[in-house]
Amino acid sequence: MDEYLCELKEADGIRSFYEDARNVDTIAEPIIDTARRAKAEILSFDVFDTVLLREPKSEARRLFEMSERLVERCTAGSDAPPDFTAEDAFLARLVAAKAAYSMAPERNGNREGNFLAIATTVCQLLDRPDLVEPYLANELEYEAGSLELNPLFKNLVSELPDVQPVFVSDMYLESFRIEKLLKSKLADDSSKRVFSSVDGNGSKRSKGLFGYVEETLSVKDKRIIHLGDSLHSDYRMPKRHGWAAFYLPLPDAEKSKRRNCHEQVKSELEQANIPAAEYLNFNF
Amino acid sequence: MVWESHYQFGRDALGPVMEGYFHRLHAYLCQCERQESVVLFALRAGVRIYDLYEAWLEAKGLEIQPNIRFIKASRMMLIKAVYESRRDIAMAALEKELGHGSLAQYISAVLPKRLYDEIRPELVNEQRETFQEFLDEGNHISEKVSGYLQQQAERFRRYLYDLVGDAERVILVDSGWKGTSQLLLEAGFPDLDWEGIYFGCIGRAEIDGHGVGRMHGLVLDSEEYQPCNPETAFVVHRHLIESFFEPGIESVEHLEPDDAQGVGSVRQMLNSETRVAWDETYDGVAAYLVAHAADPFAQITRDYHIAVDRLAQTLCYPSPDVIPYAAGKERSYDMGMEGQVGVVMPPQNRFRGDTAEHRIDQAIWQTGQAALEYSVDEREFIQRNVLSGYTTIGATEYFVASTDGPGEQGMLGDGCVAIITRTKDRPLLLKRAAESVERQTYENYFWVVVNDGGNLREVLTIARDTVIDPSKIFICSNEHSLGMEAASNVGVNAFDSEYVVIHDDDDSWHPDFLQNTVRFLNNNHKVYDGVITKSLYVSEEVVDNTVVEHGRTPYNDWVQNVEIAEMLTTNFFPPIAFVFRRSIWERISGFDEELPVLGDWDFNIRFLLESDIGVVPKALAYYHHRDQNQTATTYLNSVLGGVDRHAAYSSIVRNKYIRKSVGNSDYAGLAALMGSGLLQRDTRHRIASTTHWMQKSLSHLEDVARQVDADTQSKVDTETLAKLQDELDQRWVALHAAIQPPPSNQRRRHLLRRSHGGGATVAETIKEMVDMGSSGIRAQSFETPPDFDAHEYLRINHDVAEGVERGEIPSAFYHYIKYGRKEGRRRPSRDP
Repeated sequence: MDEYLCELKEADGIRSFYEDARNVDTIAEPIIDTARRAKAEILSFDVFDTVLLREPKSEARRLFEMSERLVERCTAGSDAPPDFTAEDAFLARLVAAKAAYSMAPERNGNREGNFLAIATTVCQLLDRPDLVEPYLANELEYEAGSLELNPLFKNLVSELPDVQPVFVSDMYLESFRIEKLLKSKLADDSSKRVFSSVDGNGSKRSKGLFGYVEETLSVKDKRIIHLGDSLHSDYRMPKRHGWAAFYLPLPDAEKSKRRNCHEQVKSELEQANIPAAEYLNFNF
Repeated sequence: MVWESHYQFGRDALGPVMEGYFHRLHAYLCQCERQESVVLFALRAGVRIYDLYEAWLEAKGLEIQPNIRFIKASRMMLIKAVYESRRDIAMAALEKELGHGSLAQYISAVLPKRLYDEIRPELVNEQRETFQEFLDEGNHISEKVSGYLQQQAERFRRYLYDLVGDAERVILVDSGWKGTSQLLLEAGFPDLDWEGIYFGCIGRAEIDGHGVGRMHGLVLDSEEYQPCNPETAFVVHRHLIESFFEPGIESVEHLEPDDAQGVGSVRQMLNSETRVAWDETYDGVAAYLVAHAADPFAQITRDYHIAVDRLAQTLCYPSPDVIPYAAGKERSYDMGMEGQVGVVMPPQNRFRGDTAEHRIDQAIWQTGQAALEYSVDEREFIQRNVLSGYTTIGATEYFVASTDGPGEQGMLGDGCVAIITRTKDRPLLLKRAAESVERQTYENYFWVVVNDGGNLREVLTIARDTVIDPSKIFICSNEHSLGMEAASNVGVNAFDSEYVVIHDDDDSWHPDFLQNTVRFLNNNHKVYDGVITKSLYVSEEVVDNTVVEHGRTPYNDWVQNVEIAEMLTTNFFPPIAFVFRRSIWERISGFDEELPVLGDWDFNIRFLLESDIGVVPKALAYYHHRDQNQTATTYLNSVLGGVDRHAAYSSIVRNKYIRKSVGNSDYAGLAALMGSGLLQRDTRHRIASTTHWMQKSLSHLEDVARQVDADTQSKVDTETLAKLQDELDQRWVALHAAIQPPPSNQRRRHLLRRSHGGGATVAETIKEMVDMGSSGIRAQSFETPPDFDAHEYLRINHDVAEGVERGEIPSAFYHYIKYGRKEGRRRPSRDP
């Protein structure tokens, strides 16, 4: 097993691991080496948990906290609290996401629910169709506040100045919203090349997006190196497509923290008499 | 819970469930607004769904979406609609609905009454027997029918494209189940992108090899009842929902020219509907929806789940007092037939030989019928039995002994498998082995490659190029070859895991190999410490650095169980098929490194002295042999390349255990077992050769029989023929029972298990199935065989004809097979 993988998998957490410059060097070294040998033109980054690191929380917890934030936001803007609770908004978000993913039209072999559709549906279910814009802003502000830039990104960009970074994500957030998040975290307002599966040009998990990236950038497969945390979407599929790829998994301890966090939300829902398994299944 | 009125049942029992359903429906329909979609609510159920949805939206202060319309789409109408474009599917769908009905039944089903009455007198002379033959005949009557169908298809086509307009995506909204209507529309109008949103999905329709497309079951999507998922209780009594959504308006089975104008308003339709007392349930639901539309979302979710739990209990374990509320309306016949049938029937014998079991089997709501038939003491037991027919074994498919109690999963390890691959300078084969590992659907494994003195660089290149998780690959490299068994031990020692399997570099697996074997071992951890799957022998050769496959055949397909005595005679499964628990490997000190070949056989014998090995009866392991035109190269198998050594070491291994048995009680029984094992092996060879001889003889007899001319046939003993006919009938019923959906599944599994090794012969099993009658096989299983003349049987048996007429006996053949043959009634035959 590669040394860098051992250290990454055994780390206490993803953020603490990359905070240590020695770890960043250990990870960066084989990537830089491969990029130089292959005369790479493009370094393709997965976004979430690769360039932008999340907190050790489950997706369910993040959605719940976004819902709490939404209630606070609505309360702050008026004399009375809104006529829904964080629990209402959270459950509506889960139902809306399932509907959006289930009914998304198939485009280039991929179905992806989009953020606007999810937000509109949540607001309909809460009988507050007027809240769509604040809802969109609320989730993005939450994301911006909780994500942290991975020092590995800056290291690679500075070591490989002639290699263009691009960002490839399987996500319900449209590319322009991801770009906005990246700009804010990179403190750099220059435009970024972002490819999101929700844009309708294929996805990483079904491999189609890699071909679209190549075509758009007019770069041959051997000159692109992809990095990401998903074994399937960021390692297997780009390799099958012909790209070089580096698998940067979440540390086992980080996964464990997120699993525990998920279990905690599940248990809270069960206590509130909501059969959690039905609502917390994110694999639509 | 007992209700006092239908209205109350609707409001309190169904209301919160429907509230949850309409929230989901609304969430789904919100996704269709911004896309190039049109939403079609299918008549008849669509009228009530629309009516409630509109009222619910209004109560929330929202308006119905502008892209929602109605479609007149009964199943019969859609069969006519696709008659022009997909006649094959139209005919297959019609046959599925009407089965072996008479030609007259087919014609009366497709034609409006007026037209049918017109041609009826002329049908008396019609010689053709199938509807298809009749249409193909091209006489003036069949042309009338065919012309009518073409006219309807054309009218529907125009009607549909007017409805859809420019939209490319069409979303159907209906009560649901298998999506047959959606399938017909998809087949007939493939230029449109169809999708269906349903209250529930119970399986997926298939007609003539065509499956239905994307369906969404908002409340349930399951073919079976799952006690842990209460929504699936609607599988047991889906008629409740059908009843609820079915308005008292006529089914549209025919389009008039002016029908294309639209259906008028929902209110107009519902104001003129024919209502029965049970329809007050609908009013109760409507009242609930309006009153609770603005409730907080979490409250709606909670109320929904509480109501679903209660309703599931009512549907699965009803008492007699809830039947009038939860049964629903009488069920209307469709497909051109008039009349209705009760959901449950009075608990009284309808004809001689009728039983409670028979009535339960025939009832639309079987647990409801059980509630009427049995006393409070017996009721739940019977209902539980009925429910077991709506479930399948699923995850415990290979469960073999009831020794693993629930809640003991914590005693298991992590399920991790160490896959050991020994290799030496065979990059071509190692690459294939890597592909075999990377395709596994079970991902909790580590791949340990033992390079036994070969070129390490080649191994590293293959490991780097594969898409196996790089954190799960371990490379062990021996500077000099240690031999096969020592290499295995190095690999097993390199990494800790719960299970181990030797995947030689030249073998391969089916993608589900690990999934099946690990599940088996987890499910049966108190019984087995090892498991094999069946194997295929793959014959191949290496030509110009390419593997050329010559064929695949079952390898030792007779293996059903793994017995020590059998293993002592020969090694009858390959290492690639065998997953075992590491703890046993440790206990028996691994593979014997002294043996240059047959180390796996020696290991298996010692393994079996410690524990048992189960069998997954699927061929998931592929045992590759370069057995064709292969000269001595590194690509030879050890089995073929070292064939002389195998013979020699076969004796060496046997002698080793006989020697050990002297003075060692652990091995004392082995000598005797080896003797009996050899005898067993000899017997198997004899049986195999006898079976071969019998097959040849049977084949010869069949040839002779084919040559017997008509004169000779007439001399054949009629009793023998009758017996043969009886056996054919029994096999016919058994075959149809086997392909019937639940509830006969559990019983069927019991029977199949018996026939697969439970001690019964196939003939005994079939007899048992037929003799079980109503309790074992559903009435649908008694489909009329093509050589049975049902018309004649009813003509000569008036009592049966009357029973069929009254709906008490499902069919002539049903009566014959259940009662008639035992009563000595004649079996009228016809040319199939």
